[in-house]
Amino acid sequence: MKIGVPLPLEVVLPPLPASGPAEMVVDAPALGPQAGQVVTTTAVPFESVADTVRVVEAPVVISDPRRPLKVRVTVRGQQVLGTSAAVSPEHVGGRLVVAVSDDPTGLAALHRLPGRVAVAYVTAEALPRRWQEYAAVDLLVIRDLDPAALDAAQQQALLRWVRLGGRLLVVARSAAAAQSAETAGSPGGRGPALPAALDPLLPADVGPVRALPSAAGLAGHYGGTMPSGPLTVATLRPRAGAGHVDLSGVPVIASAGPGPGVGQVIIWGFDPWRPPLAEWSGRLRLWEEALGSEPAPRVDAEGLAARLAAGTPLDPAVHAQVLGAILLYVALLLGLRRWKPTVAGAAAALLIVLAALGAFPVLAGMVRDRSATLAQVTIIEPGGGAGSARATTVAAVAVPYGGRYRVTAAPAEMLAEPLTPASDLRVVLGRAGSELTGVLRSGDPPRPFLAVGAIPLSASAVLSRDGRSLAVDLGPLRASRVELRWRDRLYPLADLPAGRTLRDLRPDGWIAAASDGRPSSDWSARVRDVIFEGAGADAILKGATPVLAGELDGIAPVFTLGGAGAPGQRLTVLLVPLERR
Amino acid sequence: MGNPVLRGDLRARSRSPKVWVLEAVYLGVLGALVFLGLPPELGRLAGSRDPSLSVAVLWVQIVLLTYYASACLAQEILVEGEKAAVDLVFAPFPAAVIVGGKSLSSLVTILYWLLLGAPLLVLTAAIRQIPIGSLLSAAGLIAVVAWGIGQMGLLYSVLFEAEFSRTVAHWMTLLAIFAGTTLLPSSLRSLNPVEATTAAAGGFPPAIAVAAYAGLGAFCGLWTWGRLRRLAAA
Repeated sequence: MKIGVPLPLEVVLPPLPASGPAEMVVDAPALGPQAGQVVTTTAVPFESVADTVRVVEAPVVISDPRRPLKVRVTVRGQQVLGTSAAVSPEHVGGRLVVAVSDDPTGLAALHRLPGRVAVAYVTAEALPRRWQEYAAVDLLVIRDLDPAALDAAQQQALLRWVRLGGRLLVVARSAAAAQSAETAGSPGGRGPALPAALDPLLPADVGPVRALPSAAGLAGHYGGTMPSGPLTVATLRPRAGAGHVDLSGVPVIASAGPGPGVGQVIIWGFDPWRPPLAEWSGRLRLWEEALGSEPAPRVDAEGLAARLAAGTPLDPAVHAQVLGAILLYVALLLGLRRWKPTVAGAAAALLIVLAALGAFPVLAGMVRDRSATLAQVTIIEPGGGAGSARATTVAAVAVPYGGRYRVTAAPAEMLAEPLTPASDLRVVLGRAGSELTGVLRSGDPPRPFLAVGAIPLSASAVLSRDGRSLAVDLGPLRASRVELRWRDRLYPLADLPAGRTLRDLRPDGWIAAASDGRPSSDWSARVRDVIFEGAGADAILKGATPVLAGELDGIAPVFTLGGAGAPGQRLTVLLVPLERR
Repeated sequence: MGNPVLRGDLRARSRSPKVWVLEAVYLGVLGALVFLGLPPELGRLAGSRDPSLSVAVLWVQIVLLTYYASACLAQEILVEGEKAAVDLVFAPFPAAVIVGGKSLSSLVTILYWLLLGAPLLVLTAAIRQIPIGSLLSAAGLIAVVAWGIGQMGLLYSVLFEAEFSRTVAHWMTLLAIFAGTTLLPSSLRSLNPVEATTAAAGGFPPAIAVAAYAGLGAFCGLWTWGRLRRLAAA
């Protein structure tokens, strides 16, 4: 497992003693300034049926593995079950390889790879049903998978995760390959252990099984000493655009992007669990290549949250209202006392005091409501034409005078979590979305939240090979303040309408990003600066092609603050890596 | 209202332009403090124990009301139409009526001013969700402290004939009470009116301060009564 990343928690509840509205509550300790006291509570409401086994799932973020996770179940408000689960330290890693394999051994050596690699062996049933719950996974290895064991939600989650940047390794085991040998040669032949829905992901079709006299060619490619002996492989037929490694002229490794999407899919035609590969001293380099380099985060969530927090000023109208009320009160009192300078006048002034005692608490309530604000920025990155886009929303809720807040993250597909450890924070996972409630004391800094999800959106931007023309398709949305960004240069494009737009680009139109002349007081510009100058900027700007960036209109807010009198600030940024054609 | 001295003082104070100015200053200072303190203390560290704005409002109230109450009774602030206690000795009023009337008029004025400031205090407290109960206990403490120190002003008005001596004694007393008490051992530090107000705003009005200033007020009242009786006999 990984610290601070949502993990799928599946709890099998024994038969409960009563029927009715129930709730599973998970208390996850977090590291915070008040050690031992910071707990984030995740609650999943469900309808209990007496004497029936029930499986309840919840994504949980574990930030402090030293303390156990506590799980409680209440029915009609009464606690009926309670347990705790400790996290074993050896399961905590900096990078995580998850292997779907019947053999729960064989990858122990991976911990020698850089980045404190941890390995988890799971069954198909344990694979998540939300793609965001793969966030902790650096490489998913599928070795033994009964396609029928994956339900539609799991298939969809896996497909979406890979298309939005996940890394998948499929091991075409010889036995399975043998089964599929009947389909050898058929153009539509697919990997051995994946449901049909995932077939488009694969970089190669699987052909017949062959026994190669030696695997020494792999040692020549990856180093180390390969034990002698034959190697049984499933021959691969790489699809268009896929890279491959051949052994004795037979493709045994193929890798490519997942068709439409930005992830990486690798297929091995051999089983690294089996000899001679299991004893091969160079196998770590092969695994290191499969694992890839640690991806830099594309969104500097902490940096954005800090900038959002600085951008939540008090509503000036609030000041004006309070000033007006105070002036009116004092003026009425003094005016009455001046007009009627008698004991009766002084007594009448008490009526004004009474009226003010009734009105000022109402004014105070208005001030509180209008001062509690929510600022949020959503970064949308289309998944390479897959019809969906990754949406990452960072929000900061400020309750300047202290008090309870209730933030709703919708739709339910957006997985929301606190960005920093927070005491007294409760996340309720409902059908319509997540509701996050907590308390901020007066003077507490704004509380940041993060939501990650996918939204249906097809947007593309194609740059001609000579770099002089740009075709952008924004679908039904229009974008403002659009620009091309690449490294430290930008090309302003102003606003773009919905639908398809063609623009000619002038070579001298590129300017230094630092000299774009935007006023620094512009909140959205300052937030964008964090995106393009913060910790994740390199991942965005130093790609092979420029990225199109613009502010999108017409996207519904992800977070809403209950009872807020002020609308808050909101920005939706579209980031589309340009394709070159 | 059967006390003629009380009736006369209240009538004089309600007509006095000087008291109107005092009220204007008092409400103006409180209003300005509440408005200028409106921006939330975003920069404050979480868990900071800095006093909040509502406590600052209470501080201003105790300082202003204590000064007003004692200065009016010590004749440092001359309220038009209000007779000094010494002058009333020659009127057909017993000393007890004079002292009782002056004491009550001072207390009524203090409570009235507290009421005038209450909405502003409630505004700042409600914005920050401070329990009203703690403010009530602080307001009660302010009334007792201001009345007790005001009684000293009453005493000085009969002890010192010269205005200069009276004013010096009054200011030395205020300095001793507001500044000198900060030098006391921590167990007695709550005798400082500002410290006592802070404690009362936290929900615990220090009993020692309430008892001390109530006792001080009663003691000064008795001393004034005795002094007036001797003056009347002379």
